[in-house]
Amino acid sequence: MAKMKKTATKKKKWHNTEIIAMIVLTLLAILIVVPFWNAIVISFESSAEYTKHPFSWLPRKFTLENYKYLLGRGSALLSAYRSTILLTIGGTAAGMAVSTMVAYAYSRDFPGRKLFFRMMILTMFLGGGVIPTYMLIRNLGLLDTYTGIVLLGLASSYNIIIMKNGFESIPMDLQDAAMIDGASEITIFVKIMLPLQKPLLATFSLFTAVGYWNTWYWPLLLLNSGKKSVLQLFLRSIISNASRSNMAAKTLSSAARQTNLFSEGIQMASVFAVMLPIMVVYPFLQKYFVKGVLIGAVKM
Amino acid sequence: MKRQVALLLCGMLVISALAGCGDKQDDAGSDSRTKVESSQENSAGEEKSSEGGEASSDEAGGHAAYEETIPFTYTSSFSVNMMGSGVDYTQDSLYQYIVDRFNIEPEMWACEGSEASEKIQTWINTGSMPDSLWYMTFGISSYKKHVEEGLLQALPDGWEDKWPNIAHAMDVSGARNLLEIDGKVYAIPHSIFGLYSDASTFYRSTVMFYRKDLAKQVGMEDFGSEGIVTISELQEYLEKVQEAKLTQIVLDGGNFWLLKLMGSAYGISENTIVEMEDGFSFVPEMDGCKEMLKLLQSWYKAGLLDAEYYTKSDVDSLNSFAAGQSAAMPYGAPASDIAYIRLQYEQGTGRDSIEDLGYVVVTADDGSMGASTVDYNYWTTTVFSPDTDEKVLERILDFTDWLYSREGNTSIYCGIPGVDWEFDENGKITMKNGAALKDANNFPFFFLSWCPDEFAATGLSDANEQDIKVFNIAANACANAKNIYLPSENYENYQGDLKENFSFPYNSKMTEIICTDVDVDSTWDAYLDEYRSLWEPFIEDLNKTYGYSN
Repeated sequence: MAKMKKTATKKKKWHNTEIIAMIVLTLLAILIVVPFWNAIVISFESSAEYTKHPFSWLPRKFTLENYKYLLGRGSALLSAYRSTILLTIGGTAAGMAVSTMVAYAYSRDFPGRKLFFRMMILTMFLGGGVIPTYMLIRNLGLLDTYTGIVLLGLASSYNIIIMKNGFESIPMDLQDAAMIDGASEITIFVKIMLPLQKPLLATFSLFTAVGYWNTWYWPLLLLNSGKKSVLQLFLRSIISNASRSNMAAKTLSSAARQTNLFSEGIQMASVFAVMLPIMVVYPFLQKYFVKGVLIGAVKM
Repeated sequence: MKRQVALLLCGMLVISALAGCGDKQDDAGSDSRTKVESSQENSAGEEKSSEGGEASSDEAGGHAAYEETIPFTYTSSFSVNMMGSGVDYTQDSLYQYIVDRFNIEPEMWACEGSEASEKIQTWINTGSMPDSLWYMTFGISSYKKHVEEGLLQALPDGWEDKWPNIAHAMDVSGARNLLEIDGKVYAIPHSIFGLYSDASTFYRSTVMFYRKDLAKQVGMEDFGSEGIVTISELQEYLEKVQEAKLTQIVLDGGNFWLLKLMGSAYGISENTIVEMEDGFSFVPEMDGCKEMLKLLQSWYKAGLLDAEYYTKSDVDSLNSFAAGQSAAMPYGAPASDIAYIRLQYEQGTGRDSIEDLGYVVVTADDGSMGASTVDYNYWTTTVFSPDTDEKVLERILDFTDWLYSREGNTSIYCGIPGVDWEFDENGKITMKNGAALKDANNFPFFFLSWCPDEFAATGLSDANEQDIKVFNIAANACANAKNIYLPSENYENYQGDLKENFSFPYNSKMTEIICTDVDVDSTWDAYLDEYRSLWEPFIEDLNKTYGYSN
């Protein structure tokens, strides 16, 4: 016992390689953190101060004008947040529901299974392109709706393949035992298969949710109503508006003269405002991200 | 049971695969294509506005009522920032006035400026465009392709008589021949000058902003007083300011404006290929190019040019000048740019821009401008969907024609005619009832007619006389330049692989030459040779195609 204790308290000896690795990683961390910190500082500065001192450790003249401008678009910002949250929750739920069911089906045997599976894999390499996809959504009457955006990401071939492998790894004996006990396919799927794949489901839910949170391309093309705009498009609009108002003061009206938009400051404030929710949530979900990357690497 | 579930899933897959094979839905779907809604009253036919010509458009009020409510979809310049504005524009009194006056229900579609190109092309190519589209990324070749493919609607026959204000804008744009295809016009240009000024030719003028207070300090009180200086005079000002160490940077400016300004003085067009009387020429081959590079190289070596000018965008150099860090900066001369620079300077330094800031036209040492480039007098256009009903299009054109009138265009800046403003007996705009000027930038119908760069429209009584004087000097200098490069319809109409493959990226090469000690003549000649296989055959083919001898 005493010997074990002595071993436990023995100081760790640093090898040279570990020291070098530590130095390199510290430098990398500084390289990553410093621009990020500078961005936060810029968001609290005015245009004049930024022009004189593009890089500062702290704001020389602290100002909240950039955040006031951003939050002054209160209703538009809230609307964008609401749209994004709706899309994220709805899209993730629908996507996971479809993907898990399709993956479960592929883990079982049915006529034409291999053909359908190969067709699905083909879609990972080939796509219809922007115009045909847009026309498909339009012909379905789903333009300017969230359903159209969700439909496009409903079934992810990659997720289905990984989940299919997950379901196949569950011994058939378990399922046979359940069937003997009188469980139906749906009962087996919901009460046995899904609970056993919780880590997998959590990981892919997270990836899907982040994807919807960051989505902008299809919302840009498919949404015509400004009120349905998502957060990323709202930010894009804020930044464009700031740059455009600065570069094209198309009127000498006194109302326009009162505006003095610091484009870079507003950009940084916007970035910070959007990243904040993710930064708050990420520490709790970090391990699932790591697991997700590894799952993909091992299974493929 | 297993089989049934499996078959159900198979069925879902098959249905989803077949979903895209259906016919295009009717216009009543979420396309929100417009339909004429019958009003509750007896629709005995609508009556047009009584404003028929330019003279009558100066009068406020006196318009007939429209009986039928017409809904339509549209985009405007406001579409590019509507999502971020946080403003409910439908509550604006002027918006209500216009909507009531023309009995319309406009529905704006969002179209972000930064992705306008992709969205507009998707809309047009899939036949899903709004009834009236503010074509931000308008280009003649894509316009012609759209027309060929039947993706745009032409203006109705007799449009010049029915909508004279639109016709006037078309005439002054200088682009009638480009926009007319087989006798029909499919786009309305947003012309720049022609509503208030007599300028029928749009010169792309650039001026040099400088500090009058610094010029005084170095004993050059008269510098720029006539609105025009030579290159040598400019150099003298820069050298004296540098010697006195009055500013951090002497001459600021991104690549774009600097090369434009100096190029004009040296007879260089900003277009790479120009059509002159004796044929097409390749501008970088001209001697003035090397002369300009030699001058800028010497200025860079002497420290007159900002050491990092090539890394700066226009915004960066403008902010730097506005913060009082530089003594001079080249920039564009339209009213909006000048107004903005004055605003930024006052807010950046807390000083009076009228006292401190001046701007001048820069000419060669013999007092003449080497070259001026004439451009078409418009920027962006409005186009119409081929699926738009004739009645709807007519109402949209009525509304647009009014916006192109003096009354309509002024309303965007001043408010409701007769209530917030009026024309006095001399035709001058006068505000009424203590009304303030509107923030036109955030008005949904902004930029649906004239480009807001003309002094008379945007400046009202705020325009500074000195600014207007120099603006006119710039226009006059351009009009009397040694070489006037007109827009080339032949070049615009030319199609072929040589044009598709042609490129000559000269900005970075010019920057490299300016910032290093290389020999200008040999380096530039070598660069021309490097790209000769691209530009020489193209020039030859252009000359051959349009009947110019070698």
